[in-house]
Amino acid sequence: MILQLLDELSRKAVESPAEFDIPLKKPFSILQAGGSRARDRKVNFLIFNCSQPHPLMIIKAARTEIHQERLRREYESLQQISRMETIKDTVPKPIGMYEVESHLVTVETFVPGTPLSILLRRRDRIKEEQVRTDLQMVQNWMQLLQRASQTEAVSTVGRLALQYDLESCGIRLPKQFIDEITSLASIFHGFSFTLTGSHGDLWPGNYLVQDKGVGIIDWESYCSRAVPFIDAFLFITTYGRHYPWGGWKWTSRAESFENTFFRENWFSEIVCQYFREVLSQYFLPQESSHFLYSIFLLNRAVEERRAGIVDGQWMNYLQEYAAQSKQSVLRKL
Amino acid sequence: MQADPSTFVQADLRFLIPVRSGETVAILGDVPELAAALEEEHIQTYVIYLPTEATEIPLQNSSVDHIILPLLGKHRHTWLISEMARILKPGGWTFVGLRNAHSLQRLAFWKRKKEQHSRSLRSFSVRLFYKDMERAGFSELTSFGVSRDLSRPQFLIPLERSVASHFFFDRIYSPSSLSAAIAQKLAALITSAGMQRILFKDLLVLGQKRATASGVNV
Repeated sequence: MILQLLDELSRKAVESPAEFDIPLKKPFSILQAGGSRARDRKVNFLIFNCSQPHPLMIIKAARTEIHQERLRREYESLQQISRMETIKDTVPKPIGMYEVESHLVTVETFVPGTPLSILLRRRDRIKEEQVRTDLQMVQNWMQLLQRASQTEAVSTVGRLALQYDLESCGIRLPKQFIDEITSLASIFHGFSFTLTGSHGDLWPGNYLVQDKGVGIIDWESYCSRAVPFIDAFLFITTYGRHYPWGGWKWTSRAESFENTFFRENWFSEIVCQYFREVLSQYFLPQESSHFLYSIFLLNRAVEERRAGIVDGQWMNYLQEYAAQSKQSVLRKL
Repeated sequence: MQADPSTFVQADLRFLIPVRSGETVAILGDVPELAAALEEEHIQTYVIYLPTEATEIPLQNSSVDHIILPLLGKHRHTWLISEMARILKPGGWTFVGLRNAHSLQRLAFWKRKKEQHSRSLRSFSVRLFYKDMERAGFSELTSFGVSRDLSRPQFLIPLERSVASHFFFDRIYSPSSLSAAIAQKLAALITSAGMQRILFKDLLVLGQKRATASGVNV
């Protein structure tokens, strides 16, 4: 299937070279990459020719019909995002969307860089100064996206919406935690901020470190109107997950989360600083960190549950946070 | 019972084969998700389990468009290659998984004890395997390194040129131990020397059956 598509793309490159700004010349090498274990996901193909050390382009194929819609949305999101002047050089450019042998296939340019998750796994960029630099870089990039994609202003919701979410999904949490968050919802009611574009899955695997600058890939979960600090909260949570706490030995999710949010160490100090900086951008009080992060975890867990995932990672994070919330470093803010 | 998630990844093998709707594929082995994925795409599949002592593949001459052999095991491989050539239509593709006799893992004596359980599977020299395939009438031979292995083929890395394998070890490979991290650094040197094939324990070989003597595809 990929060979057929490459033949067609090569023909188009010859017929319309101006339209096709990629030096598509045979012979090609095809690297089939990262097949996720989840069935309804995509398969990526990195296309090389013999003259360049990096791929010419990436072809993405939906494994099943269910995933085709996500792939189509990703492509449409890229069409929108790649026109944003301030971030267009950090994201893939969409080349085309095709149907090949009943599979939806999209083609986009390659974004150079190494995923931060890979670098962390190789125990690269793990020193305190490097962690601070990387977190600052990702914040800078998020600000660029948000400034380029601002929409309307909204206010934080009160206790009623929160109770509905908890009841409708049958999520069981410690009563003390629920009572506290419900009470905080009344206190932090009415804050306003502007909805912006959100990557939706900004974890260190989708954040590419380059010699100068960053690259951001995998835009399947992009939302054009989202709460602006979702990407920031998701990134710091998943960054803590992928930090090599145990050296070459893989640390459990619970322990990584604990090191990030509950233990007094240099890393949790950086986390506090990160939250201060993120919330100050939206003129939100630092004291609301614990509340807003709890709501973020709750929303992620609710989304997971509604998608039919019973014991997902966000439910686990929520339950761990709820169980130990009194020790959360975010309370220091 | 929910299927083992790794089998979905095995079903991804079909993307590299130029198979079209309405064509037929023979699968010589047990890869149920792959068979199911092909059936969903209206590709007729023949799933055939060959005992070691089999004397022929129970299909007519030139009766299938493509063949997938997930893992070449204990069968006499020259016999199997000639049988595949027999049942395959001219111009059709075959896709063979095999253990690499010249991988670094096989040469590493400290790994041999761990692999004792898999010694029942033969390993092959790719160079000699290519010769056997060419003798049986196959051309356009190309091979892919498999990471991590054929039971969980998450990455297929083309090996005819070093650029893709160099990129894989430089930008994609995630080491799970200190020795793997050291191996990752060495891999860059090895790929620069064009010896990338030794970095993979399992390989996939693709080959196309030559057209008829007149040079026209039937």
